[in-house]
Amino acid sequence: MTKRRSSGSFAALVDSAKVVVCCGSGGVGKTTTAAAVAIEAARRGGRVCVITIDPARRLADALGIAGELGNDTTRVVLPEGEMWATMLDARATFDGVIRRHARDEKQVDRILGNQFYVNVASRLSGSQEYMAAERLFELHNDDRFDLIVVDTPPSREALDFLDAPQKLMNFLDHRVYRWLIAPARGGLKVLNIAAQPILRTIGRVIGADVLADAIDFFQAFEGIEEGFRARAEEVQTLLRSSETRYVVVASPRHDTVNEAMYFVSQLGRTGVDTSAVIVNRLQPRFGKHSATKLRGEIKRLEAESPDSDELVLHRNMADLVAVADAEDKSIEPLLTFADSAIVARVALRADDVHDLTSIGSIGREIFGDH
Amino acid sequence: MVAGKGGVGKTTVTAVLATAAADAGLRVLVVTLDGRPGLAALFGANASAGSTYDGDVVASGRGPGRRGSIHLRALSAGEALQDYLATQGLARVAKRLVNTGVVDVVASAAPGIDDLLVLGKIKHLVGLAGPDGPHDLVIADGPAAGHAVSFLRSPSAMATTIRGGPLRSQAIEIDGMLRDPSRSRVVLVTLPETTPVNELTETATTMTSEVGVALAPVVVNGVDRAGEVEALVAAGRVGDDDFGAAARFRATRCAVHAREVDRLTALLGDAPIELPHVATAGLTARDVERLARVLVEQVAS
Repeated sequence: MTKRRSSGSFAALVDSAKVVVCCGSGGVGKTTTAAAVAIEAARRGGRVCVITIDPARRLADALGIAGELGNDTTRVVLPEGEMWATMLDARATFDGVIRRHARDEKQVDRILGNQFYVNVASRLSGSQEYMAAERLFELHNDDRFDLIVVDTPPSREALDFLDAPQKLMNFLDHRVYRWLIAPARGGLKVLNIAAQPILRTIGRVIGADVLADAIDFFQAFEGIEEGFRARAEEVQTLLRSSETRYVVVASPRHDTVNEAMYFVSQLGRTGVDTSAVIVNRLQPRFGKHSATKLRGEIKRLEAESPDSDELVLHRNMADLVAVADAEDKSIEPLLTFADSAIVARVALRADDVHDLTSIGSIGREIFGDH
Repeated sequence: MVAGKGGVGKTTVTAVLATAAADAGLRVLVVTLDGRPGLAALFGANASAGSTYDGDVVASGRGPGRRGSIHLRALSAGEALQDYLATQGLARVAKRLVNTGVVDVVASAAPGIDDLLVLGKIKHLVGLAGPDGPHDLVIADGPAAGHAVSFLRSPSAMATTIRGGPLRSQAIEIDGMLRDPSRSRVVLVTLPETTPVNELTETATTMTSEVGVALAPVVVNGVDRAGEVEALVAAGRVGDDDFGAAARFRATRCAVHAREVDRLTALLGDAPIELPHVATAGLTARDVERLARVLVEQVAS
């Protein structure tokens, strides 16, 4: 057991935050954790909205957002507290951004109907991250909510999320963009493409019509950059504000612990503190039994009563203690590394976690209320 | 190709399969796509040495004559694209294109091009396999969580969107390899829990009916079976002390695992391969060896 840290409780952290961002690598239970934090924060009196990203069907069912498209927020019915949930629809969010900044309906249609735009909105690396941030910004400014909890897209890079606004701006503001739109001004589009060996090659590889779509998109996008940039800067500011807290989610295995440490260091490098570390699915301990003592007992039982229930029960306890010990050892470097972060431990459930009650119990455990 | 959602132990299964094949005397090339470190360590090699990811031998098989071996190689989309540009006579600017992000524009104009190029490299490596080649078998530790379907679908998607040119013919050839069960199979990995089993079943259907790849038997990772403990709990022979609580916890988990393995068997119409739960927080090369033997026993029976 690590000693209790002076930096306060998870509850206090959430009480003083407007936004809680859950990051971590895939498969550590990030989406469930985000839902659990939201449920408990709502139970404690907050008006909370959770943004989930690609939740498993049963979690979406539990939250009542299965099959929802677009950007609706759905009220989650809890025994106590006010909570809403929404599933990130990156495409719909991007469409909204375009609508907001476009000059007129014609420009909107031209962009939204462009195949290159569709690809950028749905497939460009960083798009999903930026749209999660954009959505977060929208909901943060919505008076209905005091707290937004956001799940992040699975990624090995914490920076994918933090830097997404900047990355997308760079993409849309790229030199290629200039190459591509320059010809239109002079009305020499075809000539200019032919004059660019790189474009010629790209066109040969991916097809001239595909390239034409890209050119058309960048032309249509002209004039939107300003508004787009201003917005991206506002979003960026929110992501780095002191009201936004970052929580790194991990599971107690060597590989995921290493990835969690990488997240913490990446956050730190951009000047963002990891406010809390949540370690999921820890093998629970049943009493205080040491591996050494159990080994001795098992040896004795094997000699004295090899067919006894006692022996089976001792061996079982030894198995579970071995896992718990190995996990404690495995997470130790993470806890040392993120030494100013609050640590919340969540015990592994023997049974599946899939309804609001069981997710809520995880929330209470995270907040330190067993 | 080993595929599965994050956290199900895809990399473990890759290591176990490679070890089993090497022990059987095959020279195995393991290709890792998500650049995660740690795979080398599962073969008992030094994970910190970056050079272990360029195709070097990291372990040898323990079977008769130790003829088998494991080579490790990392592939990335950036590298694949750079290589491809080089073959298109753009070697000099390739690096700059990748670094300045022109690649992002290309990848957005033709989504899946990066996946296609990585698969192109895999196909090249598969083409080298054989008695006279550097290896007999290629095992790819699939792309990160949930992308396996779009990854494997990229060749047929590209073949439809690109009307001509070298990339189109490559897409068609790769698609042919993926659809040919004698050349490639997909190993899906899951955990014995409800959500992973549901997701695996959906993926299995998509893989076979939409992507058109052949599946190898599914692998369920970390199955806990403690029959003696379950029997005691069922017979009410456990008390209210710590040992009783521990036994009930274990029995409940085993029951969930057994139920989910049964459900998966019913859904797939075929029994999956089970890898047992290992009481640890991270597998060692020795654990991988043991799991490889379990795998071989199950495949044999």
